[in-house]
Amino acid sequence: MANLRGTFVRLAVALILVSTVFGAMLAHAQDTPMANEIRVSVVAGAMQDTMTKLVEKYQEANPDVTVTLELEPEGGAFQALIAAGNQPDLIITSFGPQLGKLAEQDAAVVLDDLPGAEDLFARLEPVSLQKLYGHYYYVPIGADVTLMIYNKALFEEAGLDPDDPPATWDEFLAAAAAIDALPNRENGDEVYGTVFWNEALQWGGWYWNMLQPIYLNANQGQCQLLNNLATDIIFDREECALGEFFEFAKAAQQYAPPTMEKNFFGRNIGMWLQYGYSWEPNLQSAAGEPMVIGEDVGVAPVPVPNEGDTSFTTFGGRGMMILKSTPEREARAWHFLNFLMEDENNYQFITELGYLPVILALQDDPYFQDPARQPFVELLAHGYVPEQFATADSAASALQGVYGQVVVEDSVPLEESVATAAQKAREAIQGS
Amino acid sequence: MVSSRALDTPERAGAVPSSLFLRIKRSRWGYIFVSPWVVLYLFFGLYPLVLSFYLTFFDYSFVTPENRTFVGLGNWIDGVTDSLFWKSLYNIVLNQTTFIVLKNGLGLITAALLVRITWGARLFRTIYFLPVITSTVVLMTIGDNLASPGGPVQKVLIDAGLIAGPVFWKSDDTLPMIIIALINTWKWFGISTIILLAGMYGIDPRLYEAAVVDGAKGWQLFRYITLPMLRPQLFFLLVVDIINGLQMFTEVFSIGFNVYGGINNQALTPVLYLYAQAFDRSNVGYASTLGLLLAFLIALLTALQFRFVRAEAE
Repeated sequence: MANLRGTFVRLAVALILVSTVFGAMLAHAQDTPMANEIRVSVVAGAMQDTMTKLVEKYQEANPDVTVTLELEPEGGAFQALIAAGNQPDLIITSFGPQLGKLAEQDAAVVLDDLPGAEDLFARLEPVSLQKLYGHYYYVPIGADVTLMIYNKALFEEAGLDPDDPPATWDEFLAAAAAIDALPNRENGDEVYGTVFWNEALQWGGWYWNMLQPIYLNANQGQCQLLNNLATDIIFDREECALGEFFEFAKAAQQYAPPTMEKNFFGRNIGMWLQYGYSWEPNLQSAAGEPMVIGEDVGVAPVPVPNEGDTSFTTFGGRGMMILKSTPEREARAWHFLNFLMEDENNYQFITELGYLPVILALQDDPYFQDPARQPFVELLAHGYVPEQFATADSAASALQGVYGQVVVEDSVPLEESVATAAQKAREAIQGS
Repeated sequence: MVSSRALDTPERAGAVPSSLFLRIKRSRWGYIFVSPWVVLYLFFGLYPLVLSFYLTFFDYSFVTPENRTFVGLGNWIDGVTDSLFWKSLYNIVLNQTTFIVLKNGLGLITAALLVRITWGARLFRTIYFLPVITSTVVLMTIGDNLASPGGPVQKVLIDAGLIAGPVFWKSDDTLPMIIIALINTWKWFGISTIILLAGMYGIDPRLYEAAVVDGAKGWQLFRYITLPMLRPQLFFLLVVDIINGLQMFTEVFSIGFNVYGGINNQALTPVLYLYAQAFDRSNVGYASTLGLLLAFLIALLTALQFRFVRAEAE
């Protein structure tokens, strides 16, 4: 009996000791001391100006902390900095394959279990979040979506109702044909029903974000480009409707110039399916006088194949990612990230830089309820973040190459378009 | 009387050779003056080379260096059997064949014209040399805009009926390397002009006089005297062009192709590929292997040129 009691006492002491040590470790993890200095990567220009103001505000609230802003390397290629051990602590970079590469290379901090992460993600537009390899690696700070913009004056001249923009593909093609038949302008410029930024087909996979809304509409959001593991393409499946996408694009291209040398803001293009919220400054510098949404131009969702279908869009915008360094610097970077995601600070960031709100509470703000902005906000719920895996860029570039051959150059028949695109994309994925 | 210093020189007949230390001491100032270069070479030339060779035997990522894995000859086998590496070499051969012929041909023609003029020759030499001193990035950006589907060159070709519509050449499998070669020709033909012009100035005019006496004219003089006498210069240009060509990177990177040379790797070069492996895939071990394979190829080609072409040139 005495032995049993002694054993029990010893076991209890051991348990107490283990609990104490474990508890201390857990408390240590949750209360990791924060570094007093971090570096944040931003893009030159307006973002640098806005972030300078926000950094000053943060440093006022945290007097012992220094936040240094530095410019993003060319092309957002942080690998060279990582190789040199000279990477910034927090990056604010575009959505896209760069985020996926950093996650794949284990260069970024997993955010899932950081203090307050769950609450933060719950405040955000769900479709703006994308898990990479099973974890959250970034927090979106602002979004950009594309929809159709149309010239009301050309609509009226072509006998179309300027307050009833086309909602389906057939309506769009009919409107494009009517506008395309209008006589040349006084300066000799031809009038076109629509336009596509075909030069950008050669510039990289990012352009797919501007074509993808049409593709998503074709398959009603069933498919993007890759499978869940990003190891193979799926767009050659029948339900992905890539053939229908090519068919519509080819039909629309006949009412468009070969390149975007003449763009929508020159006032001789009827409709443009790739207008993004961030293009607003171009309205100010339109030919003759600034264009005003609701007055001489209108915006509407990208047309869909059939009446009643949902119109989708692709998310552009920026995400924040913490690069691995020391626990103290990572903790400070997470603290600064949460500062940027406070309603007031995020509002300043997105309104000054022309982004849409990913914070749900800000979507109802009167600023974003303005008739010129509300259509964009309404589209957020139907947005798709571009696939941010490294292979997605290769697949998109290959697809764009075939798009050019099918739609613009007419060198690949429509019947062979899907198979050709699938072959090229698979070769590109294997080579990347 | 012979000075004692003279008696210390090793050239004395029958003298006992001085020790290594004494020889070094005697030549110490020479060693001191070359030492900065030697130290720099050791740190920035030899050490990276040895380290690169060492890394070729590992699967190594600089993002997670602690996960370095020994793979033996795996990287070397992968490199030799890598279809993308051979594709990049094919692209370079296509590019350099076009470039070398055009650049040196244009340089030869220009030199042949310049050698005949006296007034304004210096001005023309300066004009032709200006692109050489212009930044490659700037020239590629200008060339890209000029040749773009909406650019002036294609507009002229469309108006002239030579092409039906805009050509999206960056998506083509062959055109990118040819167009880059054309832009590079514009940049570098001035070098060929100057070198070949200098060679032409060095040809003995009595050779031409003798040929004229024998009835040779115009093209015959050029073909049977000028060209053969320019073989050393042409050989030099060929060697340098091939060495530089195999290391092409800035041109394709600055003209807007991604690090894999476009959607079909149509603009992929060996150096661009090893850059992609190192900084896009963080695959430093494999990138080191590709770099050394390329160095070996350059050395082999240069040796072959010296073996077969220089002998003929001399």
